[in-house]
Amino acid sequence: MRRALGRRAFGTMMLASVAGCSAPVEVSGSNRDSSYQKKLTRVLVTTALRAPDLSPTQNEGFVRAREIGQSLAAWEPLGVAVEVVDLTSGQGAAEAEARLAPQQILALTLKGYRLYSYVVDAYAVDASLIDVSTRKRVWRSSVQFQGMAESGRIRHSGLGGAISHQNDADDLARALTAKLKADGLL
Amino acid sequence: MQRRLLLASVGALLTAGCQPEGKVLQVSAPANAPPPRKIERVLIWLPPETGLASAKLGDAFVAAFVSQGVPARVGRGTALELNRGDDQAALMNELKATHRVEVEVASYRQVGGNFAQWTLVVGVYAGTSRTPLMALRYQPSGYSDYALAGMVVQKLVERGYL
Repeated sequence: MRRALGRRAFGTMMLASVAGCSAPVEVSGSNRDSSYQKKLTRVLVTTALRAPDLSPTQNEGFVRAREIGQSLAAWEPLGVAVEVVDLTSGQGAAEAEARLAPQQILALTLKGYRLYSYVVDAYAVDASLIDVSTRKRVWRSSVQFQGMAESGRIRHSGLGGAISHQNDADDLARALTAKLKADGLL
Repeated sequence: MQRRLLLASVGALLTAGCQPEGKVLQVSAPANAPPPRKIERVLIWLPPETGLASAKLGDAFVAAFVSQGVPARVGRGTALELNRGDDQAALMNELKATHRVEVEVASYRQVGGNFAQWTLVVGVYAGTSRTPLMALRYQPSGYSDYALAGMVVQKLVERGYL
């Protein structure tokens, strides 16, 4: 058992050492409603980052709502109030909407994923910004969580168990911030 | 050797075009749906992912609706679309469509670099309404599985829309 673990760890290290140079989390392109003039002020972030066809253990490979919430606290000094709701855990978006009275909703939705030896390696997330008053989508982007081969990032423990994804959440916040600023929304 | 080749060729001929059907995961309709209005002209809206929902799927939908005497046109969404209604408006007006059938890639799974499994969601809508009259989730058996089109039309016949 120890020998198997050691071989797996060695293989992982070797693979990581020759991994590509992509950023672990990338926002690839965006589309913005040019007529939308408002900036982000009060944002309800909803997450739907679970795959129903994966096991609970496999689903631990995706970044968590509370981790995203911790990272997006960086928007508060920018004057943006943020609350994060996990739609897949039974948390009520309607209650959060009533409580926060957001101007915008940023919906993060899992679109697809890639497995490596039965664990989540890479995945794609749709990021859509909806104006609450009109219920129209005013901005959209696609977020790529790059896998081990492209970025060197590993999203599972050596035994396939859950690990922290705070690094993914921090990178997501940074990438979204840069893109939203570039698009004049933040 | 020649007999083996002959058998292989016959086998290939017999199985050619025999893509097994995928799996219908769910069919749903709102409990308080209004009485069905017959579909007279329909816009088929495919997702931007051409690999998972090819033009041939659009052709299959058109053929299935035409077999029921309903003219159909096919349009396709763009990646990062903001408001589909705006993109569909021209075709809807041109066709004077009474209904829309929208196909979306709900999710996909890759193993290695290949798509191992994906789920398509089909929504049927009246006019420009955003409330579906019927929704169907389907897992294709492969890239050449176009049985979804026939299944959707069959469900619409059963529910009185055709």
